[in-house]
Amino acid sequence: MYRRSLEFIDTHKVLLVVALALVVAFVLYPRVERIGTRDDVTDILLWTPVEAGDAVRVAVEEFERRNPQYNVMLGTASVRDAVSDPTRFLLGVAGGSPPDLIHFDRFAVVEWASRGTFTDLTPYIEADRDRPDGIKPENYYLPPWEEGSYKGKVYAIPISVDTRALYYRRDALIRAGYEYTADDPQVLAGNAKPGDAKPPRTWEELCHKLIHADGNVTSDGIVQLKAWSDLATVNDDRASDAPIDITAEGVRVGDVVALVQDDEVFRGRIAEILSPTSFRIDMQREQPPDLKAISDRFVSNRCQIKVFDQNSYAVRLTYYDPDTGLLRTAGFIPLFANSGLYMFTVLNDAKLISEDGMRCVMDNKRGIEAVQYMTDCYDALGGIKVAQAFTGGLATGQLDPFITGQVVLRIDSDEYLKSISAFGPDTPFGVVGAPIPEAREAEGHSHAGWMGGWSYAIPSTAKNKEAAWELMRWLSSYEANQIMARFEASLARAQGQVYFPNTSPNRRIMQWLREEYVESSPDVTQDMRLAHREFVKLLPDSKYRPITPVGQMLWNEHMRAMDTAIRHVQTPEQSLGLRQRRVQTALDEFHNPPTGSPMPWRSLVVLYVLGVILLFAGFIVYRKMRSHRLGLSHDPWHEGYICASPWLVGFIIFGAGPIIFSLIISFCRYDVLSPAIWIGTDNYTATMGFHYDDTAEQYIANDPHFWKSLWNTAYMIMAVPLMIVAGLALAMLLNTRAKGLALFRTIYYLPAIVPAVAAFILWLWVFDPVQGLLNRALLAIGVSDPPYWLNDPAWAKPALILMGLWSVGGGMIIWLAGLKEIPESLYEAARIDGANRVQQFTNVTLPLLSPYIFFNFLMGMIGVFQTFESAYVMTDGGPADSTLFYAYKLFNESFRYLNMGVASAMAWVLFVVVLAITLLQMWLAKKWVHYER
Amino acid sequence: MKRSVLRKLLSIEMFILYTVLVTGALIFSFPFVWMIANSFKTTSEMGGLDAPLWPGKPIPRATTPYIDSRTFDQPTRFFGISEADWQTIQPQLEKAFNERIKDWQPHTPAGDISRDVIELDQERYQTEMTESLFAFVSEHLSDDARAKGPDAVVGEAKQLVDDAMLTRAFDRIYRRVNLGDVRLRTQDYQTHITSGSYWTTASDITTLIPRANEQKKYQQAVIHFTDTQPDVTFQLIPQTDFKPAGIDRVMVGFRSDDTWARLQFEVIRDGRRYATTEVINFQDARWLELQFRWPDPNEDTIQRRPYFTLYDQGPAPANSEPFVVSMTITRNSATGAWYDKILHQYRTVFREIPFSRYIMTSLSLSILSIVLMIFSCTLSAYAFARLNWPGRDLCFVIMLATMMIPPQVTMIPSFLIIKNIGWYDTLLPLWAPAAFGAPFFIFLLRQFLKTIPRDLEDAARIDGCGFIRVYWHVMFPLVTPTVAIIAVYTFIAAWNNFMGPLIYVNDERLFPLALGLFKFNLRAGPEIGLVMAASFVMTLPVIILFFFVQRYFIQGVTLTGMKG
Repeated sequence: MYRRSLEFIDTHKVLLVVALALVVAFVLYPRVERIGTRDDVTDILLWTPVEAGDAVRVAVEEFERRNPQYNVMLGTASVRDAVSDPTRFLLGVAGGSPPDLIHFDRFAVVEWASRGTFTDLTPYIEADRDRPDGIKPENYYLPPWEEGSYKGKVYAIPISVDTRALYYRRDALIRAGYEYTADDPQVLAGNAKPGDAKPPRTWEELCHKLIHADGNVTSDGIVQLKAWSDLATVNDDRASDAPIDITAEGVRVGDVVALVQDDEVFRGRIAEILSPTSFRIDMQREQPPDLKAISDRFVSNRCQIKVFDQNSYAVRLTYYDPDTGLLRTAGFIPLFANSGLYMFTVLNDAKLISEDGMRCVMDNKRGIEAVQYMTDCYDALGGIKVAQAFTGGLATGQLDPFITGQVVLRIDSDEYLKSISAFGPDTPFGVVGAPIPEAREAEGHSHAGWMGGWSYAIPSTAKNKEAAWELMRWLSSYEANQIMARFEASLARAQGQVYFPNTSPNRRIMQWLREEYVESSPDVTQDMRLAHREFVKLLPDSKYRPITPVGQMLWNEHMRAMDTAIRHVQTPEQSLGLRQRRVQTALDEFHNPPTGSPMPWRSLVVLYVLGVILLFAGFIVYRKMRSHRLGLSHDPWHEGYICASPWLVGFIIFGAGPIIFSLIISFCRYDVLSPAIWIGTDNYTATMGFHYDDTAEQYIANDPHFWKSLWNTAYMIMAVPLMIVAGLALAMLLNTRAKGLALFRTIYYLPAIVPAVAAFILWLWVFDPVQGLLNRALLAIGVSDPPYWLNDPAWAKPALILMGLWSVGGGMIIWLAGLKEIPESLYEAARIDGANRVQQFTNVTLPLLSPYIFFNFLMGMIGVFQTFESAYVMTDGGPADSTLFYAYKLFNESFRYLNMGVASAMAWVLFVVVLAITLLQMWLAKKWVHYER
Repeated sequence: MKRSVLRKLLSIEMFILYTVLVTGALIFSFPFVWMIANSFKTTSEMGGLDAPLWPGKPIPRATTPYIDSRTFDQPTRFFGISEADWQTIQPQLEKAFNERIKDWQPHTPAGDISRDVIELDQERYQTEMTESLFAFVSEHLSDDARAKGPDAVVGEAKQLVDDAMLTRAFDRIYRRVNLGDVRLRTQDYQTHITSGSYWTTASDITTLIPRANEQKKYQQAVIHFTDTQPDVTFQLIPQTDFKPAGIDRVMVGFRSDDTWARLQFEVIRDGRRYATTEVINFQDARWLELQFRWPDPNEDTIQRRPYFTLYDQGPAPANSEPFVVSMTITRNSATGAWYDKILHQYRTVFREIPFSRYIMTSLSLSILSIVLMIFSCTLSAYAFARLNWPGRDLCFVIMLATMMIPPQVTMIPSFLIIKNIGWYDTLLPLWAPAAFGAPFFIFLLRQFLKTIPRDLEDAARIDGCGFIRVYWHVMFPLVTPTVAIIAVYTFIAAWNNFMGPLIYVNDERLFPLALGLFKFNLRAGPEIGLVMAASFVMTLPVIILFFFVQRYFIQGVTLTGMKG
């Protein structure tokens, strides 16, 4: 009988299916030759920030034709923002499989070079001395060349350079009455003709803040100023108790007023001046038609009050629809296009790093002034949210807002000339050095901004450095650049566009490009030509970003500082101070590396393996001795070990081992590139610790981002009950005896199985403030001011929760199973006792479901702690760190900054937190979870 | 009596229930529908403040050029002007514009225009031009004029409408087919422009307006399709002095109209015909340059391939020129246009992006993971459930405990281990660890095995089966339902895996689907339609799988939940 049942089981079929599946897998498995493994041809892997354009491809193909021994493979870094995110490159270097040649943002090369990720190119340059086509420093403009060098060694060869200046629409300026008069000094000096558009030259001309004070506002718009704000820094050192007289400050009816409360900004116009310290806001002009009163947020608290001169450029050129109160034309948006805080610090001659390179001085007075000025510009426009919603809906190409006139002034790099040339060659515009503060103007400071650009660099662990150098030499050569320019020019012509060249850091190439495609090209307009000359004039005066081993961090931190200040999350001083300390810590750490002997990894691994073997041997011997002593027949124990070996081996290699080593790493400073050094608990104190700050006279977190990420994660955990309620509600609906429920169940369940990345991409688009499905639906049902979701720090997390609710169907099935398990007899009994439906739910359903609630809550919470992909794919942790989740920060620490020690410490903290919460829950569960016995 | 009341109550209740269910289902499926709808949109239907919510209807036409009545809507009130003022302004402006348009000789910036089109459809031209002018004036009107009132607005608007604006306004509503330069690239990487050569045609349903001079970069095609002649062929024979055999790329610049007519390109090179086999449509009304290449067996690029391939179609007709480029335009039917529009982005996804490659990689990884996972988990579960070995119970507790440990704890050392055994930048770390099983699945299987009586196993043992045979012939068949669940979940996990390849794979040729889609999304910019099509392609297999094995999905979730 047993035999027969054995015959029933046909496992041959299983084997057949498995074999078939393996064949399919084998056929589909991508077979790529590992780069650089062929003998006759050397592979060169070239990484570009975005996929290489046709011009580069043509130049590369030409290289291959001339050098048949080489095969060039083009790749990209596949990160959102190649400027601030070196993750994949660092992973490649750390993993020992980097590209041979990489396009890298020049300012960041030195930082990573100082940590040993790039090859010193000086010997190659020396060897090239006598070659006619060699790379020679004297052929290059000085600033870009210097930017790629550190301590006398060259790490990067510049390929592009861009400098920044102010673009202005001539027509809009003239319409608004900004013209040169015959007696203007510029006209007298012969630099301009009367009637020409006159661009702003100083910050004060561009956006003039008359008043920055604290005060109160009533709901009908009467503003009462109380004291000068201590936040005002630009040309304003008044004591806060100095008397206020707004007319003496030049305030007039029609000036723009901005009220700031927390992160909200209210913008309006002054209707009437009531007294030296009070005025009334026009409740009709440039406001939404349904505005009845100023919102309680502003009324119930003291707020910051800023008044801007209605005649300064940014205010005058900004156009709000008087009826609907919507922004239609923006005069000037500080961060629109390619500017950044660096631009404003350069314009204000503020230093970010001290001369000796030892200190970060980001938070000096001029730096704060620069941030304050940018914040003011945004507030004059109606706040960053309004500006972002405005720019978010703007298109590029032919509908570029500058080309259509929706943005009148923009600070941008010379790259933008290419867009104008391609999409709006007849745009009437001019270019001039960016405005600087009056005080700097008086000191004779230059109007030139900062210059950036890309370069070629060879990673230190590249396999084919010689070959990479050959390719680099070719791509930097006069000849290759001619090929690329000619190709692009003919492409533009074939598309009916006018070609406009890039700016080259190589003088000779630059000169050729200018002569060939700017000065003598019949298609290029005079405006374009003049603009290009202005850029060439500004180039030698342009500053580059500080060359420092913490360059990338400085850049990222300054972006964040700016972001939080502009959004009024922190004051400029606070946010700069915070970031300054972070950068300073990194700088100190770099200059004073911990001393100690490197971790003996090899011995530790051997020790671990020996330990495991001993443990097993001991166990077996003990068992044998025991069974011998007790006279038991010994079990065939090898069977168990063989069968359990998949899990056992996996646990030893990828479980216990990593756990132990992770703990060790968390006490080390370790960046993979250099040996790990024991530093004790420093990683833990650096992330979780506090220190006493003398200036602020309080304890301040060593790493506020750690707490921020913890808070963000906790916020998401608070949404877990919401998910549970939603899932349960859905399950209750589907637990009725209606027909066709299987269909509904399928529909509700489907979102839960959509692949995460696809779902995130879909939701990115659903959440788009202007075109997204959600806001369109909200507008359609009469919500006049829908949130900006992922663009607004306050709404980013709720948006993610909303997205989570969409896939609540996954949990619903569990509830359904739970509901089905409740015996009908209990309900009957309840009904007999006279319980209504609500009572049935609270007294029967809920108690019997409590194990499920408990389990789901625990699982949901643990899941939230792992939230990584949504932040990585959708928000990059922004805006203003509002989606910087714990797991995301941990990933950043490990693979973006290579702080393996800190990341491991964070992982262990996470473990302890999860464990603690679980134990707490289990303890609490005893009180409310009803287990049926 | 009583029963009918009950029934009534029930039906009201049911009505409410179904209303709630249907509303919920609509809300839940709407993002999905929106994803699919967006994947049907063309690039011009995305971006901008007034992008349509749904894909527009493609309208094939018999005649080109034509005036597109869909470019602008009825003029709406200018911003900053009150409703009352608008009532006086609009008729005045309309009159002024109409007069201005009557006096104006239509021409485009390039001077290419087919007058008969305007004469044929004078009325449509007039209305569209007026609407177009309204749109332009609305953009360019100064703030001062808006503030000052109707007279100022009308005055300034009249001033604004100059010849240049009229030309641009016309340009926006005028749909036409322009044939531009053909660029040829030879194998020595020199690019030649065939400016000196012109397109010609033998068809009598079309005329080609020649270039006025060298500055004009294209010829205008005027086509009147008829029922008997639904297609037209244009030819260009380059006047060049290089060898045709050396040409390896052909780039054709043209401006398309929006008729969804189908295009086919054919090249004769050295006595052989080569043609495109993919569907190309006239759509989006814009300038573009299409690139054509011959198949390259060594092509191994992972970058976007924005070109079409020319396939060999046999020998060329006798006494043809050594090198000829020809372009055949075939009128599309209404259903054909919809069909092409719906498939447009999907065709592009598979042609330009190595999406099939990503899919194959992901599929392969999924299969390998499933196979390994099934064997390792069942084997380990067997050991935990049925075999006696020293340390078993301790190991079981440890295994359960490891499920509590966040993966972040082991992430970094695992990376270092993978790197040191030389698996970095290969696909091995993405599937090989499945050979070590997954604690949760092992746990599930063990619990299941525990419930099965030992009789069968003992019988097999008595019959002399070794433990391997017991596992294979007794245990494995018993756990098949649970194995199916494991297979389904492993598939989903492998198909969706993003973090793994993000950390372990640097070579773009090895990217699986999730990472490939992410990378593509980063660079897609305004091509949302394409991104949505790609996302849907990634989602589709999971949905199909779900419909086939729904039972296992739901059982799996239920088992997960029962653990508590």
